[in-house]
Amino acid sequence: RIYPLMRVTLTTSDGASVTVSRQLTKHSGFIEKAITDMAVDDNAVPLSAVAVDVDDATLKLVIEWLTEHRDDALPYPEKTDEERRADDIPAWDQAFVQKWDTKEDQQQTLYAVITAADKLDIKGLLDMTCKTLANKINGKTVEEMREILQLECDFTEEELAEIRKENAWCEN
Amino acid sequence: FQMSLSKLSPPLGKKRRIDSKKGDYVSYKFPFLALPNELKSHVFSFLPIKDRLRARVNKMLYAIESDSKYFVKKLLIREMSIADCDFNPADIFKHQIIWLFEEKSYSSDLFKKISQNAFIGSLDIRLSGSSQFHKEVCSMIKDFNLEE
Repeated sequence: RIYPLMRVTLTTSDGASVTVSRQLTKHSGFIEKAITDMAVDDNAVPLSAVAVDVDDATLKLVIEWLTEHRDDALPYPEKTDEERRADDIPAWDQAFVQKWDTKEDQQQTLYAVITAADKLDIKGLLDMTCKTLANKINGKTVEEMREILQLECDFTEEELAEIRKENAWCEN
Repeated sequence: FQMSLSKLSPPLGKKRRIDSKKGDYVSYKFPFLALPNELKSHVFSFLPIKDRLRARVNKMLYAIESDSKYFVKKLLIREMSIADCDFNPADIFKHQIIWLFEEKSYSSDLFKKISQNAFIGSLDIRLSGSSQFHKEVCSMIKDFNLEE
């Protein structure tokens, strides 16, 4: 498929704007749909900007990821009836996440990128970031999982005893 | 494991100012909880079966786990003595395995739970015993969604 409209301007939730190549935005279902909905003709009449509900700092990370992944296969290969696993994150992606997913950040950026990938419908980025979060809780104790996810235990003593009994299968 | 939540994050409910010009705020409070449920479920979908079940750490996650289906290519369930356990960490890339130890007692409820939500490529169970628990587990095998 040819993309006659080669660049598109995005405006962020905090008022910034950035112009990016369609080579990148073609991986975003949301942006592609917005462009299609504007029904520009193939001669690329000036296109109004696409507003995205993502802040500038997060969008910069999304664009950095898209730049690396611009040649990824489209449509994104959806694995519906395959076993899912989180141990296959590419090395570049792991290094990319490590740059900003610091202890001090307390996963704020990770959640921002997950949410952005969901809003922009970028399936590869969504999978990668959700796998990153899954890897954080994988193999941890129940108490550690609560701490990482910042969740409080709201079970009654009886419910807790019931779950412990069930989960005896999973504690080895 | 004694680190309290307050050491790990600002006091619950405290907000962080991210853009002083526009006055946008983002809350530190429970970012995972704030994700849409389908995303929470998506995160769960990448966990191996044991961690998936163990991650039911509060009511919300319990409900999310119960509401979503998942696929396990090969599930092994083995019962043996603790002394004979010969788990090889490299095997986790080939299959998922649940160990049951003869020295411990178990409820069949979890097996039922797995049968309700999991599609399993192949299920390989080796149990040794004739207790009520063993009978229950055997009677449940027919309830599984197996590929073959």
